[in-house]
Amino acid sequence: MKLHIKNVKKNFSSFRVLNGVDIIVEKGSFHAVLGVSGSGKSTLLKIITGLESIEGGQILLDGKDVTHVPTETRGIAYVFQSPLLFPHLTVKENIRFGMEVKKYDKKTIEERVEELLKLLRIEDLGDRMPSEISGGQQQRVSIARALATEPSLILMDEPFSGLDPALRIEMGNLIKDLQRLLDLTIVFVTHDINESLRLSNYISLLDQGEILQSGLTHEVYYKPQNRKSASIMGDGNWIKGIIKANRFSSSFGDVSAIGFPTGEAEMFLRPHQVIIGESRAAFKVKISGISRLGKETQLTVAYGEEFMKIDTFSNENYQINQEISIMFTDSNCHIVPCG
Amino acid sequence: MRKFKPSNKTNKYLLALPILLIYGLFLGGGLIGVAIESSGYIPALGLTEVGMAHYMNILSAPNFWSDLTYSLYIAFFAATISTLLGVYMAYRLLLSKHKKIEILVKKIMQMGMILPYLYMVFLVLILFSRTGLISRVMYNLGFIETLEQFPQLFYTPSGAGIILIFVMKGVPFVTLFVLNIMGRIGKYYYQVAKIHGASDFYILKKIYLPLSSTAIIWSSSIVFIYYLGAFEVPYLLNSNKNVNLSSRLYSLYIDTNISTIPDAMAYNMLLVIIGIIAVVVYSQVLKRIVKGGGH
Repeated sequence: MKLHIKNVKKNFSSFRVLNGVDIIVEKGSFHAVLGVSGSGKSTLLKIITGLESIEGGQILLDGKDVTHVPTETRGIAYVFQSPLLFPHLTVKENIRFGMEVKKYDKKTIEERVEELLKLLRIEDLGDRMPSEISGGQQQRVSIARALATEPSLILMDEPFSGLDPALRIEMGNLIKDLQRLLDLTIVFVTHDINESLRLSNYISLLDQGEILQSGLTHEVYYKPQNRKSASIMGDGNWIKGIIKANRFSSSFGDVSAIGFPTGEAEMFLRPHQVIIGESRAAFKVKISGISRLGKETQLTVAYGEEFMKIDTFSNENYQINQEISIMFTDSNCHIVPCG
Repeated sequence: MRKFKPSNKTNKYLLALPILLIYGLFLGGGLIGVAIESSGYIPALGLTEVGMAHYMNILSAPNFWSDLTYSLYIAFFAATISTLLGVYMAYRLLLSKHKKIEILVKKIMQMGMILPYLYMVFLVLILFSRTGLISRVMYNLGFIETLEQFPQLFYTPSGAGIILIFVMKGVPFVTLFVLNIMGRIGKYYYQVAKIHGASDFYILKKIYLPLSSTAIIWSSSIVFIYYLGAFEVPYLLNSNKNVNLSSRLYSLYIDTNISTIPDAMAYNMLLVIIGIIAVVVYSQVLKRIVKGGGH
């Protein structure tokens, strides 16, 4: 199912929470909405389900306006931040809930429950009460419950935030596998950059109730439209320069800039796109800062008055003031004209 | 000096002991006293013959069984209607998106709880009697041609007026009691169920009733046993045909003939026994209905 969130506006009292949010979620895509706490992510999901009303805009499902359609008839599934399993029902009864509401026949319900227990790898937990299983298992049950009625769209509101890092990755992989296997359309809200990069193929960056950028995840990551978009997705290097005759010139030399207008511009590179090594095109820089993060080392290097961040997996023992050679390829450079 | 902290179950019971002792002393002592006097043993009145004669007097009285049926009927209907309306009100208040209206309704309910039963009798008489405000408004608006066409709610064998007053007092109690628990359960389960396509009624039946069953059973049982034992409202509004057990007991109490005291005490004991049996049956039936919602 294709979802179009069209120019959605939402106020809480006099405070505007969402200001003209526009997102298109393609059918069969895993679309992440990335933003910090308080950016309006959860509110946006509740608006899609109809749990929250809006002051302006539309929600379109496959082109059909569902803005005023009641929650219970939208056919959307929602996985909350906390599993919210009904505490008085067993795991199986929780999974059955939506199917019983929709009056599936008993045989179909039983078959589907068994299938989902297997798919979510919780076959042995069917008769347990929610209080008798772990947080990770509870979230699996809540996902099984969401999948039970084969919804056309699944919304996930930071569903793994309460889990430990290892389990988080495991659950993320599970969801990704399920999405591919069942061709699900998923909108996944998170404030975790790595999680959004790992899981999604499309991403929208939400900041203070506005969409900063939307598109293919790797494009948004490597080709941010501005500094804010870039910073939401992690560290980056912005190098000032000038575009002249289809070339971008900066203190780090020239790179191709075909099709860009003449004038001031900035070049963007993620820290891991800067390569340490000797070549004719390399620059000599001096290390001014080192952060060792286990398998990864983050260096801050100085080149004249410019500073640059570099991520490297090299296990070399770098030292402050050490001189190293760095380079980057034209294809990795993303040029953003100023103004 | 070391501070005493209730760190285990025993300590909790020890902390509850003073209040349990006071209750045990008054209630237990009172019950023992009543039981002794109901057997006919009141030496101060020169009655020393012990037996079950007074119980037999009451049980064999022609009006006892009809009084009992009437008492159970009033208590059952008033408690059931109070519970249904109270639970529904609590659920609606839980889901309310209008905070100001919610606060106002709660305040009105608290007022309703504070208001004494006798005030409620006068209020309801002013409003709902044949010469009351509502019948006059209906008459003046032309809905009824004469005041006699307005239904007679008071002093009738149906006990409609008594049930109405009990419901008006019972609904706020059940609402606030149950809302306290529903508020703790929160709205998230409602949202989850709603997303799965459930209607408001389905969610109430399958989620909120089972989860707040303890509060519902307790509050409903409390109003049931209270209505079974309450005497002032039925005493004022009973018809000549039907009298409930508590009113009958009150008449015995205020009888100037002191030889009726053993009968009154036997009546009292019977009312206690009937009350216990009735409330156990009532709460068990309610438990099946309320908890059955989840399965």
